[in-house]
Amino acid sequence: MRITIDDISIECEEGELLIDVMLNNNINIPHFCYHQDLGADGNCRMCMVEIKGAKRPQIACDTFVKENLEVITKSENINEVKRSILELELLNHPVDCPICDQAGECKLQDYYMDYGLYESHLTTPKTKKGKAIELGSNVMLDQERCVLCTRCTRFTSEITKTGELGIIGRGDSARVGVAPGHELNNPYAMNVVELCPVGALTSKDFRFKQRVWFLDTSKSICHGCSRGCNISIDYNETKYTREKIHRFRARRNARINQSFLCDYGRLSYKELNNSFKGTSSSIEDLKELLKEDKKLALASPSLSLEQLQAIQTLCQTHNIKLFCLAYYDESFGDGWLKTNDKSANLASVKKLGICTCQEEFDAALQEAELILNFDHTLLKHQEFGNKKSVQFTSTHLPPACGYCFGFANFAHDTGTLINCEGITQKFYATRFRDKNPSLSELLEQLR
Amino acid sequence: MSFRFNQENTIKIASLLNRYPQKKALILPLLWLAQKQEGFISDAAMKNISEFLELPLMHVYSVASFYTMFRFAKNEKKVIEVCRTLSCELNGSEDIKKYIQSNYSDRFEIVEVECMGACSGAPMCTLEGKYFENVTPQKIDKVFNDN
Ligand code: SF4
Ligand code: SF4
Ligand code: FES
Ligand code: FES
Repeated sequence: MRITIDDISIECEEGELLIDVMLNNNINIPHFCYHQDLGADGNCRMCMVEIKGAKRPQIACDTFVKENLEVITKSENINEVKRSILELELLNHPVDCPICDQAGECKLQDYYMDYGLYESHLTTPKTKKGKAIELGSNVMLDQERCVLCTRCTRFTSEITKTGELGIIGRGDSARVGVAPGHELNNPYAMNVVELCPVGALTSKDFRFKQRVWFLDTSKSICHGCSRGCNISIDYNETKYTREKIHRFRARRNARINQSFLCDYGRLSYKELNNSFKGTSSSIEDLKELLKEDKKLALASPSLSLEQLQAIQTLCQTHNIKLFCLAYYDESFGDGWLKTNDKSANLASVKKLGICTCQEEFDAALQEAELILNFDHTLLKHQEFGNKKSVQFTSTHLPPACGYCFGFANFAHDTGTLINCEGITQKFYATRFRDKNPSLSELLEQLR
Repeated sequence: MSFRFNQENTIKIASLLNRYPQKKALILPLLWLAQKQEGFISDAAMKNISEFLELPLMHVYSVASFYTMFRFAKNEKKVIEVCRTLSCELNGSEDIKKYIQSNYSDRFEIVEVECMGACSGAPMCTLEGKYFENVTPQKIDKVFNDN
């Protein structure tokens, strides 16, 4: 069926929410409280639209589409409604955008620039509330900047069911908070920072480090476990520093992680700034080494399908026994996103038929005279006595006695992962090249 | 610090339980009883209520803090509530408030409240929960000085 939004005809399904149709079709619809993965709450009234035939404006997050519905999002009437709502939101707001970490990605700021009144009607002093409150789990709260959309409280009561956050008081003094003597404490807590449409909730880990308009973004996949949550990597390179990754944000994927990440995965970006800084050994030496007799290779189960394929080809050409052992951690999984299998790509390993048997690996390790380790944590810091060893590493390693080759980590590479549910996904490299080559380029030279 | 409802209140709660289809509907009566028992609502009381109702502690705190008549600390002084809603306002509650504030604020804590449901006796005020209606400065002096 079809509806019209601002004279544009749009295809949609019976029973869909008007706001979803607009969001899915990239039609600008201001909103604070609605969130595609938290549902509607109807409290902010920012999503008002005019519907032809209806007496007064209504909220798009509580309107279901009907055949031939005619919607108007821009009119003097609608702008006036939004202006009044924003004036109310800002009644007690400190307007401290210049020192607010959210500036540049703040919905209140964006909407005010679009619809605002610009001149204050206010004669009474503003109500003061709490600032820089540490809620726990890296989350900082500024109660004065909050628009009371309740996205954060709905997240802890409906999604994590931990119920730490709530609204305290009412009217002018209503504010977000935790119960006395308690803190925000659950493995998914930092999602509230991203859910918050304004600068009321910010991340202690990220705030004041970068202005968001100086960041670039690449589409990637979290490598923290086999769920394969979709992420945006925010990074930049400044005049005096090499490229640095500043944060992971959730990238919406309704089939996998909706709009969420676990805190462990979210903070795992730090590893990516720890790439190999030493000097790699010489390829010629490596070619010599490969002439050894009993050779074994261990590959990390978090390498991409392409990297695993390149390793497999190398091993076949040089008669190397190839193994891959899963990163298994019984204490990591929960019923939701986190899985006990902390390998990002075990499904690809299985698809390629690489041996994952611990006993066979142990036996082969005894035998082997040359050991090639492709980024697997098990052998990364191991001493091998009189056996020869070669480390291929995406992280920094102190100079060791064996041979060592650095390669670009997943932020600087493009590749494919298959998650625990068999979903195949691609991740993409950032704009800047790593000083180390990609693993495929490196292995190419051995041909 | 721990909290338990006393025997009398426990019996009351048991009979209140039959009145509602869901246990969580008891949240306001329980907060009232806790405040009556201790004079204020302590963290321990909220914890007790949250466990009893199987609701997150934050939910109980959120509800309790919504209502200005719940208090979270022991009163240092006795509390006088002065109604400021329409009927009382029309019958001179503004002057009553000023009179009480200037004469009694050192001995009592004075709070303005909305309609207490005693409009027929406007203007009215309370002292420690007890209603005084059709109040005048003379009546106030008489009652408050006895306390
Ligand atoms: S803190 Fe942010 S997410 Fe939470 S209610 Fe306020 S504006 Fe909404
Ligand atoms: S659940 Fe797994 S894939 Fe998702 S963010 Fe956490 S560690 Fe990363
Ligand atoms: S987004 Fe529709 S009322 Fe808030
Ligand atoms: S207006 Fe004062 S008791 Fe009703």
